[in-house]
Amino acid sequence: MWQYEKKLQFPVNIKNTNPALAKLIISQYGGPDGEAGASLRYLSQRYTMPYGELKGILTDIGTEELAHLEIVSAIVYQLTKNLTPEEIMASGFAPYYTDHTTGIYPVAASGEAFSASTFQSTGDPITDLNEDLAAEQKARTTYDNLLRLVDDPDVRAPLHFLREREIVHYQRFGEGLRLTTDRLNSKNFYAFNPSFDK
Amino acid sequence: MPDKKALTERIRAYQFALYDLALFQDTHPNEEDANQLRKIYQKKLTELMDAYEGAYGEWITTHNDLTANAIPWKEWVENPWPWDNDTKEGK
Repeated sequence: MWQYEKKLQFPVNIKNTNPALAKLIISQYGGPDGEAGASLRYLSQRYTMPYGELKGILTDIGTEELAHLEIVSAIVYQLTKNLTPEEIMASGFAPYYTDHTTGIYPVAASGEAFSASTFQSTGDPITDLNEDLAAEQKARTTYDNLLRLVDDPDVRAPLHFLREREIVHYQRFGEGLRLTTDRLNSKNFYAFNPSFDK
Repeated sequence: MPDKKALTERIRAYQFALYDLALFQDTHPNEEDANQLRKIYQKKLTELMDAYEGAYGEWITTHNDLTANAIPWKEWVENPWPWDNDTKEGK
């Protein structure tokens, strides 16, 4: 089970609203490589992992991703406070506003709602860990794409923090993959699935 | 009296360092250097917490703590939430 701590993992204090930016950043909440998918991916995959280290790292990173979707949500929330109808029409935020007002909804920048079909849980540790490595790089790319478009230092700081975490998680998953293959047949890592074949 | 904001930031930094170290220890459970580093960070965090609590009262960020440390409900609902600007640890 989980406990909630009433704090953000990284503080978000944005002085200037910017709904156009909010519509892009929401992708890291509910988009194809966003934090919601990351958390569900890792927390779903951990059950069939064959080794304690893998259950541990997927539990802890899957939990941290929940803290990250709270940071992304806080950014979007603060970027869309006190908007006028004129600002909504001028910023391109009107389609999101029409469906959700300024509520936080898991959706991609391109408009598709969050979907579990953006991730996998295969029950094969080598496959799942390679998916996790790719997921961290895809999220890092998305943060890089966003950072090219953002000037506001109040928004850049938490995005930078989140980007760094993708790189740390990639490193930990790489270690998880290595300690998995270390326990398999070095002539054929794929001779059997340690989660399924006995 | 230590500066509250500076102390809060240092506590948060050590909490984060211990958390990040936890990810490393998940994949390196037998690494003695990491265990030693954890002990150093824990000691430092305890000192900072003692300094904070001596000056400003208990450091509490959760309402589901099962000990007497749980935050009073009135404070839990009335204090700022983390996604509001300039929140101070939910206090």
